[in-house]
Amino acid sequence: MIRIEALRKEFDKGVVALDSIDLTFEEGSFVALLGPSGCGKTTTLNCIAGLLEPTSGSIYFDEQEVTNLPPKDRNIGMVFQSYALYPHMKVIDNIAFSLKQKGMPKAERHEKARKMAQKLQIEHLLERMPGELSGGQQQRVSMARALVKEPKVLLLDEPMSNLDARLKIEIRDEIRRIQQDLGVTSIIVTHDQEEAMAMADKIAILDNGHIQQFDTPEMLYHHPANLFVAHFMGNPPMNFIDASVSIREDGTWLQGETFAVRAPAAIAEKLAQMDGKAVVIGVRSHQLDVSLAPAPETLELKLSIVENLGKEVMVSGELGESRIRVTMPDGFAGSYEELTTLRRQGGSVYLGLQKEFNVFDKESGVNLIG
Amino acid sequence: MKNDTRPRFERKKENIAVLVMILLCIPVLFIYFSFFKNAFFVGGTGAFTLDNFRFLYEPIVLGQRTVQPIGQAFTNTVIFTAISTVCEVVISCMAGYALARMEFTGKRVITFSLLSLRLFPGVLLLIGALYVLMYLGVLNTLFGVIIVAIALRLPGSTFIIRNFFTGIPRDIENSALVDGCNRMTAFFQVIIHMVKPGIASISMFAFMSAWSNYLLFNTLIFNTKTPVLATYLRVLSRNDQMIADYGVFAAMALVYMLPVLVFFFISQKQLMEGNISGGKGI
Repeated sequence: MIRIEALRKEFDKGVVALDSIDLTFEEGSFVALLGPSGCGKTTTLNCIAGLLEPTSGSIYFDEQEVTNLPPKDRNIGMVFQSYALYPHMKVIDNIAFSLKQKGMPKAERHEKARKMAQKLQIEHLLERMPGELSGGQQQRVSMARALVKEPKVLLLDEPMSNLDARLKIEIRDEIRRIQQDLGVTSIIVTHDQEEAMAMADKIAILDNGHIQQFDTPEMLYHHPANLFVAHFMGNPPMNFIDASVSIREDGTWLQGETFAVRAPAAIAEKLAQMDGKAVVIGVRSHQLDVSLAPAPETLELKLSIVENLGKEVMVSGELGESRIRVTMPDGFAGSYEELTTLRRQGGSVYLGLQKEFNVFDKESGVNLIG
Repeated sequence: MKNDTRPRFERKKENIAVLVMILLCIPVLFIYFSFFKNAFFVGGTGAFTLDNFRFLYEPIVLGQRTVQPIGQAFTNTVIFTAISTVCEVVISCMAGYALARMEFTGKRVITFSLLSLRLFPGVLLLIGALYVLMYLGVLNTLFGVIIVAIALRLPGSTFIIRNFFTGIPRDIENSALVDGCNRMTAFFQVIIHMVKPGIASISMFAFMSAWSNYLLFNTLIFNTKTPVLATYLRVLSRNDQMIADYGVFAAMALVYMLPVLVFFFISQKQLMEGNISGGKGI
């Protein structure tokens, strides 16, 4: 278990990279630190590794405080974005390097390195120099090097950002498999939400040095804590529609410039005290019904683009000031050709909200439903 | 070349360039040749002789002077070159690493003064150095010359090697730290291997400058008890009749040159690499 308490890191000239970070990672879990560049995710990782000294706050591995221990005394394995292999050593010596530092005799450490290489399917590369390997191979070597010392924590700093798309998926499954095999607590830093969703048990989303939400991928997807998380998670991205709450005798209405819809009971309950509040409706494509004919309580979407993605058809258009992207649900009546013709004629489709969607406070960005 | 795929006009231009280069080299080569010819052939008759190389093992008489054999001067030069090269490389590596990687007050000032000291002609400091050595009581000794020689060259080589250290990705160093190294072991097991071209470059320049150092010995050593090759050569040109014996002179110059040539050819490949990224020393 790793516990981070009130971690704060300031750099020169008072730049605050991290502020009041509190996180607890379960033993054996795989956690992702996710966020846009400059949000402080790598800084957090470097503090855990001991490569950066936090300004205040503390870090515990189990019950032992490690805040001021040098990296070598923390028993961590780390994979770097650039792989950072030692260019003057053969692959096998690269892998066995950390064992050499512990004073393990040569035969024994080579034996261990060989075993780890087998797990990662790189035993045929052991006698080569790092410069002779491809990116994917270097990546595996650097994984083997991080894991051979049987670390308490495995830290991965954007390990896949230098690989091509197909290899990325392959390596990502591989990392997940090995992590589960060895049961080592792992923390991955990434800016790719898809990668984080696919690999991690839990994801911490950071922005501006603050944790926005720390939850399972499922919760992040369906119940984002605020607008930032909602913007960040999911592909295609969530659609946002400005509206205001209006409570009438016949129910709670969400009123926009060109529409008015009645909120479902569960949502209406949460909005009971908020008459007149400016809100943002956050709705994912699959939470929308699409029809070609106007109906009451629907949102008119004037078509501007129709895309054929092969598997499905996606339409987008303007609704008030916001841009909406919707994939056509299975069994939708209109074909791609029909929709294209409709677009050319300046036509619209009509969107109906289903039972589940999110409503955010426009001012603070906080999710009013979740 | 069979695999030459360049267009014809480019090859033609290259041929012209080679021709111009040869034309420019011929006069220089001619001067070298006609000078070193003196070492092996007796003037006038043109007969081959190794007589001029007798200074290697016995005193020789030139006019009214006796010139001692080269042994003592050679030993002194080797000692001087070895000590000052090793010290210069070791000190500048450590200083360069500190300047490239560590955080301490005065770092910017030191880095800047290295650069300005490097631009400052060392000759101007000699008179000052003389008084300092006198004060320390090491004037007129080999030790005194060694410390001045090292001091004068350190800014240049530190600056060069600092740039090599700056070029090492931080990830590699961090990786070594995570893998169980402290700064010291990381430096010797990982970092130092990545600046090899830089070390080759500064040691080459350190070696050449130490081997051919004349100025310091001429200024800071007044007697002939501590001869080095450079001052040993001077003895000939100070001949009483004001006529140098060119045969002996050329023979000595050859002996003097040989180690530098050998060292240069050995380290040439790495030197070229270092020269491009590091720049030349003082």
